[in-house]
Amino acid sequence: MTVLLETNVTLFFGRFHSLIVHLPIGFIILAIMFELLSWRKKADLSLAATYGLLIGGLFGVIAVILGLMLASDGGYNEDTLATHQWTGIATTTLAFVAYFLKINLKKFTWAAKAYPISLAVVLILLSVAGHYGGNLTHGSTYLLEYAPGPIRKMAGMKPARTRITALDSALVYEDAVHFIFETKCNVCHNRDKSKGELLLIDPQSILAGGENGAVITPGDPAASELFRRVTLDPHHEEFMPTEGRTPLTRQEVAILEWWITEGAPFDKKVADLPLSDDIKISLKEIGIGQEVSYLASLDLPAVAPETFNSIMLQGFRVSNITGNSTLLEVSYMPHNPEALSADKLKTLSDARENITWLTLSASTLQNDGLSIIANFPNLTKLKINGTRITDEGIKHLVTLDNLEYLNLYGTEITDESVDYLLQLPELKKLYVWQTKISEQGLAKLRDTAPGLVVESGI
Amino acid sequence: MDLYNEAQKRKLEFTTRRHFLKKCGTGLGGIALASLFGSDHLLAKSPAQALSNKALPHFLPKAKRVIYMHMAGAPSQLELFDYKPKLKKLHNLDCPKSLLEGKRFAFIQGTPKMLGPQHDFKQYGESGTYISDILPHFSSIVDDVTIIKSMHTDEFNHAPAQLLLQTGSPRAGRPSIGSWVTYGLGSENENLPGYMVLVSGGNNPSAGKNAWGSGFLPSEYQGVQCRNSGDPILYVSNPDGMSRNIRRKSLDAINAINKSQYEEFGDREILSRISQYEMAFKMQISVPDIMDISKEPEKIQEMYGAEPGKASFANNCLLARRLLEQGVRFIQLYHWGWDMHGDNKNNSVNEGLKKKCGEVDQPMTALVKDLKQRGLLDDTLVIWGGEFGRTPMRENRGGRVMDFYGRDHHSEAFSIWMAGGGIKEGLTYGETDEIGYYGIRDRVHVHDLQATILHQLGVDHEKFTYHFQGRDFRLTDVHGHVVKGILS
Repeated sequence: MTVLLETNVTLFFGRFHSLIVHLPIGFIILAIMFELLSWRKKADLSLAATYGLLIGGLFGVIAVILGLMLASDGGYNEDTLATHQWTGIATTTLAFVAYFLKINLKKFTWAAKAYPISLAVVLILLSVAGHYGGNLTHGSTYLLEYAPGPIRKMAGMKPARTRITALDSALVYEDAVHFIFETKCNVCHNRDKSKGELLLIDPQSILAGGENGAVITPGDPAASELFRRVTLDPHHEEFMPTEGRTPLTRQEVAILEWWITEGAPFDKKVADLPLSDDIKISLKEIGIGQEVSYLASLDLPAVAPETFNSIMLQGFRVSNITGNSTLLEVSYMPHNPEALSADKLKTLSDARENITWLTLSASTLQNDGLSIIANFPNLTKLKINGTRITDEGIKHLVTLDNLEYLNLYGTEITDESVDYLLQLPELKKLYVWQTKISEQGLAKLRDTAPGLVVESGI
Repeated sequence: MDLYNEAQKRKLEFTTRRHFLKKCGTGLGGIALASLFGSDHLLAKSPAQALSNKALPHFLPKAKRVIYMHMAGAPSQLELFDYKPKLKKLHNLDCPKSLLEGKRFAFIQGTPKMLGPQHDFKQYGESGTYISDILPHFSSIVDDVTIIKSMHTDEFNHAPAQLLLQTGSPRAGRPSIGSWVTYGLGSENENLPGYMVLVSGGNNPSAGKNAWGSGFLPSEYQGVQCRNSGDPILYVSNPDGMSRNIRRKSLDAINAINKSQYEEFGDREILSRISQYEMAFKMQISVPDIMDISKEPEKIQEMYGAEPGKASFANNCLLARRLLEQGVRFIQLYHWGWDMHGDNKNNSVNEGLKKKCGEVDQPMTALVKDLKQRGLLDDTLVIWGGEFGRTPMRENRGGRVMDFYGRDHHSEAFSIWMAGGGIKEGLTYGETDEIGYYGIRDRVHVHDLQATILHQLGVDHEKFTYHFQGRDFRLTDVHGHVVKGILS
């Protein structure tokens, strides 16, 4: 007995509420379904329905008792709790009423009419009690969090704010800190279930703190109760999130530490605060500052299998750049027994939008081939080093608006190409070792396009 | 015994008890399934297709190729990259007990003395990275590489540590990282093996050929080792009287026989054999030209310090660059002889290590520079390092003072460097304590390195698995975190 006295017995049993509560729900719904089946199909399930109601009611009583024990812990929204409690008790009571009517169907003539009504009311009460119970456990926004806009509007919720994930415009509270609280803390610290009298749903509630006072000391993570709790040993009884819920990741902890150190601002942008490399990496982990490359933004239909095959038959190597991308990488390896002709390149035109990486190094490519390649709008990487191209060919390439990487080493191009190359708006890396571009040409490239890395060898 | 009975007997010999039990359990279901799926769906594809993982790469790769320069024997980080002035002050003092308690060393016994760095360091490049005087060439490319100083491993003997590094497990039998990569991503050049290995320094690494073995993966994914002097690959040209046409016809006949054997026994290795014969046939055309480093301009040969015909790390570096250019997916260069215990002059951290560095410094630097000027460094991941580090204490084999300065094996801290393939430039990552004994910041385990290599190739190391003996295997087993801090 002393063992039981040492712990909070009420709560020990109370926690079993959420386990037991699903039994009456199941039995009562089963009983109603059996009743429907036996009515429509004349199946002999009537007796099963009777027992279903009785067992459902009995488990309902247990669930109600356990529920009252759990509620004694406090920390729940009183209105929500009251609704849940009384609809739950009513459901249980009415399950017994329905059972009583069912076994006395032959005794009282009015019972035959009252019985179906009682079942309908039980079902409605059960749904209401269940819904409010869910709100107590998960928070009232849980159910419709991912609902489409119109449904959220009907339910009177404010339209979901689209989270800003760009590093220069994301808000430090709304998009980073609030996001962490929502995913890891607010299951228990919400309007319906403010455990420890703490809510973490908006700036006011966070600053208000909980039953032990403030949880955040701006500028001093070590003195902030919230930070202390999430960084304790996970086996410590005060560790948060408790009850085996997913702990904060290393990166999330780092973001909270950084936010509190910087004075826990609620209105500033991420970019307004000092950003170390480590913090940038941490922010990336929660989705802020992940650069969406041009390639990732493209959503093209896949190339037809026939096109794919006809390209391969010409001696090209073709593959998708990733397992789930429709963009293509095409190469024509040296030691290919056949020379690379303009006709071969023309077969690539059928997939011209999808080709983004093209390697024709050390092939017999000539200027006429480049006029075909110039029509590949999504080309980002082009390797044509060691080929027979000249300035005439480079002239064609100026249409490649998305080209980022261009390898021209070991070709006959001269300073004449410099002006064409400078017309490529996205070019970031250029390789011109062993070409006829002079020192002046290189200087012009480097001076005119400071963002461009020009590699001219050693 | 007549022919028929002999054939029957032979066939029965292939049916083991295991076959019988398996057939009892799955036979009937198998018949039903076969009619559902169509019978020989496996054979309809070539071996490479049958296993190629269509979901790969998982995400956009930064690197298309990898070259791993493994310094077998484990170079001393304290003489090359991890500068510890404090250790200099402690030179010749007794090692404190706290560093020895509960530790096992390969050779150190009793209380060893501390050993200060045996070479001087200077700062180089815009990054101001400290590099030892015995790496004069490498110091010119510090702004192109990331040096990780906080590597650590679980093993302190060469063979298991090399296996852990190359296969993810200290015991033999797992596929090496190159096998995993070529199995997952295939080769970029169908006329060359996707995974090639070059060895120099006089010996194979202690882990032997397991270091580039394919483990439980089909054996066509094992590393193809080239000879280090003379013809890199033997018998690559047809003998007199054998035309390419006749070779083709005889291969067709052999393949037909092999295929019927496969249909009878279902041994996956028969398919590997077919594809290896085909690979050899294709290599006859490409290999003589690619393997001939004397075709390189003299200037380039000088840059590497290569001398065609000799067995050297320099030649291997130059050859490796030619192979990378051809789209070989994974290349390993093993250079043996870094195990500087101090038991003789050639094994000392002063004389011996300096000599060893002289063998690799110029070629490894030339490789990075050459890849860079050809535009290959962007998508080629370069890694250089040993299988573990060396102790800050002087080795005292047998409890005595040895004739030369040497260091024992050390698993807690060592340095490697990486370049290209989406790795940051001019970065020093991680930090060790004042004497270089433990990593104290951003420690990187061998499994983390493997996870990072796969990540740069666009592969999620947690999703990339192979089912074998009833469970899914990964290169990193259940470990490994991608080292995000070194990614550009």
